[in-house]
Amino acid sequence: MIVSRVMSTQRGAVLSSALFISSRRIFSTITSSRRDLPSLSEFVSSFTTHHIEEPVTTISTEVHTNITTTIPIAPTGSGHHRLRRAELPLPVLFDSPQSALSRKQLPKRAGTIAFKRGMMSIFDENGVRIPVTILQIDRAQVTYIKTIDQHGYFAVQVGAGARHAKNVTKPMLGHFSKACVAPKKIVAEFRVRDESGLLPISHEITAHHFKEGQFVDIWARSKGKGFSGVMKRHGFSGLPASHGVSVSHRSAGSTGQSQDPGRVLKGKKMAGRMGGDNVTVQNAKVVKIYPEFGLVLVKGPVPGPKYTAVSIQDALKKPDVVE
Amino acid sequence: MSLPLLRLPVRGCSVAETCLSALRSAISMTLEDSRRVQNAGYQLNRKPAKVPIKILQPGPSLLPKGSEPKQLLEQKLTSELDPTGWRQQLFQRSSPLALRPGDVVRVVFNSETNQTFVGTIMAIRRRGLDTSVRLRSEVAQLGVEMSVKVYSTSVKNFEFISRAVKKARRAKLYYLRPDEKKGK
Repeated sequence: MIVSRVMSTQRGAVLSSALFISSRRIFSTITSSRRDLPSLSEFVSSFTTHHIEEPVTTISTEVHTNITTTIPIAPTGSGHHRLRRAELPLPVLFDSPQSALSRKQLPKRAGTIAFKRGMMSIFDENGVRIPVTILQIDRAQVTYIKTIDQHGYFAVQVGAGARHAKNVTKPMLGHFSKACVAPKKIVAEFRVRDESGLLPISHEITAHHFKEGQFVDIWARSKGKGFSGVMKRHGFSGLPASHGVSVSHRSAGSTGQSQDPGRVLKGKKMAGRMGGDNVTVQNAKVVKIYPEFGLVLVKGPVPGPKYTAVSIQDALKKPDVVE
Repeated sequence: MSLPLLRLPVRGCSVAETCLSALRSAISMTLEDSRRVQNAGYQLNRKPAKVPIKILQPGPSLLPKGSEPKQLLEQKLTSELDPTGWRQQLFQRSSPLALRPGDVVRVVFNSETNQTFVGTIMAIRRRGLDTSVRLRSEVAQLGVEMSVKVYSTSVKNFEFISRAVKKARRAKLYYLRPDEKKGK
């Protein structure tokens, strides 16, 4: 019978004290091959400090070959799940990356980056006036491809515009050089449903990519409004202009109740920074394209100020565009 | 120092001979190297040479430099929508045939029945392709105002009927509208 005293080392390895002498030899063989375990001297010193006062009650002379040691295995890599199609013979769980990807609604084709160049209006054949935003696709090329084997999803990375090489960091210069592409001003990723949506690296995306009459989703960073008051930010009505209202015509008024809850609730709409958020406009219609200038005219407004980059891709909520 | 790969046995030579020759070449390389180290007096740099990054030049932009796409498109569309240029002649301030507020004008539309509207010009809003004209008329004792987009494809023609009796002292003749206080 072994009276074993369970103790834990700094690394969390659980060993029994009665096996000190016998396990030393075995442990030394383990430590030689595993770097995450404490060194033998560390192990010995940690052991002896705990046992200065207390004498060992019994010592077993047997050598236990089946030592139950729970050695924590350090996680390798970044720890994210990797989808490997070779492992699919197992039934796919509902809560797994594979099934999540199959449920995800994604467009079939890749999108592109365009630069917002203002608004104007055009007339259609019936004489109806359509307000349009002018989007310029300026030297948009595919710079990288993401696949399910390496990255866990399918995506096309697009770079647009042009930037002087002296203003581009070396890592990015190397990235563009590898893609056989000039240094770009802006780079963005577009997720696609499967391999059919992937485009070859350095392939140029032009205005021909879109068709007149198709619907697109456009997303961009909205115009910043700075620190804006509650009337602009949340549409509060403010207070009356007269009838004794003093100094608080545009204020929020009350911010809560009385003793209960006795505090202002979290998420209370108040003044603060407005704008500069990512905004998506869905189902915008492509009214006209001018491939000779790389221009795409899209109905209605588009988030963001003039001359900034926006991302366009086929609308999620509309049928797939057939090329 | 890694050994070089053993070459395949050449016809006529035995395997043993080729092995020996490979070993000899390996040994000789090692000796040469060691001699080089002795002569140099320092350790040879085994790192691979830094490959310079190949930077590509960007292609030209499709838009001419310094041009605004809005201007380009407006020029293009103006030539398409108004090839003869009669709209420009009627609504450009400097033109000799220019319409003025107070003139009476007939608009003919592109409908099957060639629908028309006759009225006094109350206001001319000049915005390039978005230029519009506000016409006022009395139709069966009812005042009717109509805003017409000049470059719209639904507008067929503008016919000039009569000049203003007296030159209007302002550009926008909203005073032609009846006073609301006075009642009907």
